[in-house]
Amino acid sequence: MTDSEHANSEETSTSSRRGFMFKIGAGLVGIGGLLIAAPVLGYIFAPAFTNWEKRRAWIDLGEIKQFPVGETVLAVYKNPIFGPTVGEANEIPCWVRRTSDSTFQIFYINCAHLGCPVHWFAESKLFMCPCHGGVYYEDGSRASGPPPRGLYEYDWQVVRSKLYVYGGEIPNLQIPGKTPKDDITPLTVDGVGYLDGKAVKST
Amino acid sequence: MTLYSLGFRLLGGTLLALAMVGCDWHLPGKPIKPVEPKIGSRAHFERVYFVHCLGCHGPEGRNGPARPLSDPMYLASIPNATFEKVVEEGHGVLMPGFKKTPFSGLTPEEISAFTTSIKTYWGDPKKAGSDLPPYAQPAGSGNVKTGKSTFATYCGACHGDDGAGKEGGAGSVVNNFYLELVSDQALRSTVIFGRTDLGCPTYRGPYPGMPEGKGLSPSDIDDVTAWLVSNRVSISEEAKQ
Amino acid sequence: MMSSLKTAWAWIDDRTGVMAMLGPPMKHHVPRNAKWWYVFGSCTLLFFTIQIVTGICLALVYAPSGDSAYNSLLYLDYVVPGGWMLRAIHAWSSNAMVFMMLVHMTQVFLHGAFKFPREMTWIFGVALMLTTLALAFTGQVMRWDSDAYWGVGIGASMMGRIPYIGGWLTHLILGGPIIGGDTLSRFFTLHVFVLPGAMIGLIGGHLMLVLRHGISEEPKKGGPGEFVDKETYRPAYKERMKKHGVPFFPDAAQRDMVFCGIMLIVLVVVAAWYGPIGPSPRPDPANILVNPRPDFPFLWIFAILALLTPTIEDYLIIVAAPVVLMVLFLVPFLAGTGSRLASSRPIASLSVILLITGLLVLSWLGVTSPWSPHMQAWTSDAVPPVFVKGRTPIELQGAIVLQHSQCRNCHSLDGLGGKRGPELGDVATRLSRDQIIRQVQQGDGNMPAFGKNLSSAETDALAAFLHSCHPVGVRPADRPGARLKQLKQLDKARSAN
Repeated sequence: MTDSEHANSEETSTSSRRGFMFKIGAGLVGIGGLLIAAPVLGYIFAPAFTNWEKRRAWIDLGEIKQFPVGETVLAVYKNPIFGPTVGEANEIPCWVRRTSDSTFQIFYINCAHLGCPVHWFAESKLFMCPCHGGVYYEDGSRASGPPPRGLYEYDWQVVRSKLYVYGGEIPNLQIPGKTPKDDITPLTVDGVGYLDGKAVKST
Repeated sequence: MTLYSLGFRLLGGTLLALAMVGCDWHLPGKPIKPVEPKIGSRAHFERVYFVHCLGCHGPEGRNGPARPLSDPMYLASIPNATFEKVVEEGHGVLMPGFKKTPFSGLTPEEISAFTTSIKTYWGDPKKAGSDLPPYAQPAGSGNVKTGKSTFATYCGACHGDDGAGKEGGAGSVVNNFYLELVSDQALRSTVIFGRTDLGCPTYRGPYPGMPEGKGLSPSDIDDVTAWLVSNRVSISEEAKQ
Repeated sequence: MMSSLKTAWAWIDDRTGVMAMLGPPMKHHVPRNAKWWYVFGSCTLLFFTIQIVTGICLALVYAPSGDSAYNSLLYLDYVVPGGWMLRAIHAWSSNAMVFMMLVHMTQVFLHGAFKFPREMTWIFGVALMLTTLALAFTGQVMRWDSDAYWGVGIGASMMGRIPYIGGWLTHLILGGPIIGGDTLSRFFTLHVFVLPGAMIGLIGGHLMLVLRHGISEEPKKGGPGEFVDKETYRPAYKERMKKHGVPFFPDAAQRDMVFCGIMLIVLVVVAAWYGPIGPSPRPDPANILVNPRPDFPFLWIFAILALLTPTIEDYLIIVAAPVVLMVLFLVPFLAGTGSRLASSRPIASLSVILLITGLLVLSWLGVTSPWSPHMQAWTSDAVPPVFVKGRTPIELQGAIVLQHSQCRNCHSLDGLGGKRGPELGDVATRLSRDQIIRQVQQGDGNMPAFGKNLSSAETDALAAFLHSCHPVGVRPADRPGARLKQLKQLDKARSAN
């Protein structure tokens, strides 16, 4: 074996060792990367996958006698889902329309077009939107302008002459306000669950 | 000018500008903290009027479709409590109330400040004169029959003797739709205070075709008002006929 | 003294190699005719630098938290010395950056500078444009005022129109099911960390590509580089630069410096004169007496969304927007070679003219927003006295009905009032009394029906008033089609002559 051959064989053995090391290294970095990526991505995308439905809640809007029959008034409630820095942004307004002694319509403040706050005019019995000019009739149906549908409505119930609204979400065409009845958590008053104003067995 | 001296001048200018910014000189763009007008101040009164009243009662309180408010006689006559109640709860068919709601309207303090300041700024006891007839119709007063003839004498020149209007005149005041939209008090107020901004005289005259100084007496006012009101046919009565 | 400074610099340069690194890019040859048309890119970069500097300064005081962001803005405006000026520079420089970027893009497009071999430079440029717009939008949210609150709501509603993943996307963007403190934190992170980082990386790439392919010549009829041919362009360009090129520094850079200097002075003057933008009312959703408006770069979108019919709106948001973006990215592959002269590229020139006209018109409409009802017009816009004088009692009541039923929120009298519906000062010349009543009762097109909400008396009074609204000396329309008949007779008489 000459000097040069000796050097060559040594080079091959290091390079094959290097190839092995490289694979191990790439594998370790890959596994480590995945281990880091999982919590980071999970953290970023968590709001999209959280079941917010579970954290929505029935909110007390007060005695029903403060809502005169046939009138539409603004009520403000504190949104049940909020972080520590929410400030004034969880003061959520909604339009409460009492249609009879025992029936209500509660409208989201958000225009069905792009979510701007609609404004009720008792004189002309119309909701008007200040952004793109959507207009709705008193029952929330679309009157004119760009909205593709009527106003979004809340689920509500009356329990012991108090009005409760199912709040906690900003509506849009994919999240149209009302929740399928099976997904609603009953309201608990004095240990009794209520849905649609009737006592139900808590599951 | 050498390049150097130009450079120094530019440098000086820049430093001056920086100093102006640094010392917060009153450059035009500096935001000024908005001051809420104090309740009872002229600015507050004007803001309330401009936002809530101007649409119907007219710019400067006259020449609007609804009753002029910069009318010293009217302001001297209307009782404070009535005025506040009208602003708060509205009146008749077409005057909306401006009670405080969560997002708009006026608080009771604002309303009472408004009714006080409107009298300060637009009222004038001298112009209003004394011996004003009572603002509200005394209960049970007014003779419809005499009212009809008094109306023909004083108001007939413009509104027609029967009140149904006149060619080239001022239009009907017995139109049932008109009477349905205005309240009894609004009719009485028009008889007393007229619409001086639109050419309709106050109860003191001068009435067209009548001598100067000839006006309506308090009982004349009650009579004419009663007659005007008697022309109103309510919808239920109409249906019966 | 001078000589010892020189020795010191020579030592530093020797040990760091700074001149060896910066020298070639500074001295690289650029075309002799690359003159004033070529200053806009540098100026955009300048405005970005200003954004970084002023942004860091603002972050000294600004609190990125839902409960105190608005107050920290007021603190900046009224208490912190020079705080308002920094806010003003940051806001106006943002507008200027968007504007300068669009000018730069237009110049590159019209001069065909995106063609072979500079395709990637263009693609980086489009990515920079998107990042800039994203920075502008997230920047508006930083104000955390009512415009920001409802602006985010509008963004979320647009996302909510996407089928299947709409709800998911909304929650991702808002950081929850509803706008709250977490929403602001998300936008803050984007505005201050993610987007500027992306921006710096993209600018680095953009500049490296500019150095790699050189600056293109201004295309002239029969001049060098008028036609781009993949075979010959590169060696010919290299040859021309070697022979006729001038070093970037100082030959080209001096123009950049003059233009940037002027723009800087203009920026400071505008900021000092017009002051900071916003904040609008507090971000309290319960205060619904607001008038949400986007910042300047997005007014045209605001206009489009108001003017589209509901039937095609979804397609525009979901389909058209991505397609337009794709086309922008693909521009260099759709027209990668051939003439670079704007005058020989009619489609390119026409699309620029159309786009600019469209953007200007839509932005102007966005400023005036004639489609928005004026929420307080019914109590605060007077019935002009000319419509009151000489009216009968029932007509005066009709004028009050007009105010009381909020008609003025959408309709104007003598130009005063909402602009959504037609002017009513001359409505009697267009509609007969019966037509007026029908329109009020049943509504039509974009007008709600008032039939249920107005009594007979109100309707009659309103019709009486509106029927009195005609210019002096013009007869009101008395029956449908009456005037049309007259016009037809006139036409006949004319054609007979």
